[in-house]
Amino acid sequence: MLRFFLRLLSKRALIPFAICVLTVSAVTSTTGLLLMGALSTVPYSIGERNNVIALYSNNSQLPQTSLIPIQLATNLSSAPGVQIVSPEVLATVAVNGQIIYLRGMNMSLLKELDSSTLVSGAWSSDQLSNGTMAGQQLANRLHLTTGENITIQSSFENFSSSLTLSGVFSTNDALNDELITQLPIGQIMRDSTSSYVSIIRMKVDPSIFHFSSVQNLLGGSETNSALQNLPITSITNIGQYLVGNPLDAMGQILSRSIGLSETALWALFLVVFTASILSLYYSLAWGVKENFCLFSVLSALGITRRRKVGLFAAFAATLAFIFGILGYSLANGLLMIFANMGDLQVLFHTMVVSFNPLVLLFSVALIVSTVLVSAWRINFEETPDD
Amino acid sequence: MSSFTFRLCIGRTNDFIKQILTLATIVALITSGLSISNMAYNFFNIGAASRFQVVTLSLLSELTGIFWVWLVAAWSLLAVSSYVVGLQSIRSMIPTMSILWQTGSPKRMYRAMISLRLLLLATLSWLFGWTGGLVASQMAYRLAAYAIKAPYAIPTLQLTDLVNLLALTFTAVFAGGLYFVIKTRKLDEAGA
Repeated sequence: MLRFFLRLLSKRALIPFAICVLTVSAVTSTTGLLLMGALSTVPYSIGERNNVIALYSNNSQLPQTSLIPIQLATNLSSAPGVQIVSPEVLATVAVNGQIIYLRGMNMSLLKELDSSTLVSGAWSSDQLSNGTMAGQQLANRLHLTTGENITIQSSFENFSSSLTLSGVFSTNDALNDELITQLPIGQIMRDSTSSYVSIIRMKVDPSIFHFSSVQNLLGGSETNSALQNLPITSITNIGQYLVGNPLDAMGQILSRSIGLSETALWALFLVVFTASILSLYYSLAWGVKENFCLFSVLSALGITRRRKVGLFAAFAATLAFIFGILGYSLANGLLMIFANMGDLQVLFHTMVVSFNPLVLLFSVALIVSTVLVSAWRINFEETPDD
Repeated sequence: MSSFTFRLCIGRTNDFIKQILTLATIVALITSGLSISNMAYNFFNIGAASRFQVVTLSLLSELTGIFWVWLVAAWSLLAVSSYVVGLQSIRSMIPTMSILWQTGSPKRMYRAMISLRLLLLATLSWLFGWTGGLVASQMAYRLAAYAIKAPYAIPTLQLTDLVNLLALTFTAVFAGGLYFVIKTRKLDEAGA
């Protein structure tokens, strides 16, 4: 029966449906990937790694705009499980007319904290006060070469500074899009005093470190047991600070700054899909109408309507599944190309566009379920009776 | 063009309304995206001192970049949907066309009818799309602001946005209707 059905089915009539599924899947996936990409780029831009946690002010809208006392770094270095403490300043500066992030930090920690590898030049020594290093992606984008003198213009005050690029490094986190320099230069560019930094990053040993170990140092009032059981992959408020894995901070950042929650962003994804439902329905209706003869032949052969509808719905759902995946792949591929070209930036960092199983699953599941419901409804309306 | 021709080019009112609804929903979606990105523009500008202007402009240029990438995808959806509703139009207009050919109507008459149909489809989709999209996004944001007690940021549209939307809708509807025009031309040649 299936072979007979497939032989008689006019596949040409289903081309508009396949094109429609491909486009709907590509559009919903593009929306999902852009939302998820933007969501993960903001915390990623702090410098996220599994065993690296960050501390920043709870009062600032974004971690990048935070200001905290540098003294905390000295205190935190004595906490159990804390291996490396890196007080850092994040400042937006203009280089060759483009705004980029300048990170002022102890440059000798770059290798240990961010597992970066040297691409060209040499690691900048702490003695070289005007030395700087650039992430590979930034160097490519701004066409920077080792040994070059770079003039950076502060976006906070009207002054500039000239730095010598000692090397280019590569890492798989945010620092790939940044210019790294000594902490005091970063503080001048951020227009902050030497006793304040933007964030403090800490490399911790997950088997020893607990949030409760730093509670007293940060003046928190939470119960010890609640903090003790909190995994280091989460983020928590301790006193007037947010501490933990920056990836978890996004929900708080968004709702506080623009009144958006992650759920609302997923709702946008659904809205995009809802706008496509009618197009999916009509393209499938066209396929059914063009196959009217097939359904008449099947009726003449004594096939029940339920069976006919089942066969058609299964075929349409399989087609939707295949083209749904193709649509996702198309969207993912194109976005990766745009991101690599530097056209997709969030907070002056290249947007993180990677394979997202959640977006793929939602996109394909929504399309297949819509097609199944549509096929059922159309068939009962358009095909001949038994 | 007489009101009778006008009626003929619309065809079955129910089908025409469904087609407008299909396209208007997508135009509404694009409008929502546009009005929300305008809202983000206002958010970035509020309270920002002039010394941050370069940073603000760079952030806005990032946002515009992301929005345009999304817009390319949304425009493709509009064009494909226009193609799909065009297929339905061919089916519903074939009997009308046949009668016109049989009664010796000039070619320019039914070409004008097709153009008028696409023009109506694009204009009404644009009109209902942008009003619906703007109202929907404002309602959604008001509700969200009420629910999570966040400040209410108002999604807005500028006159230039409306013109851009008009251009987007017309190009997508006419690009999607190309197949429809070619198919009718073939029928025309066969009829002649």
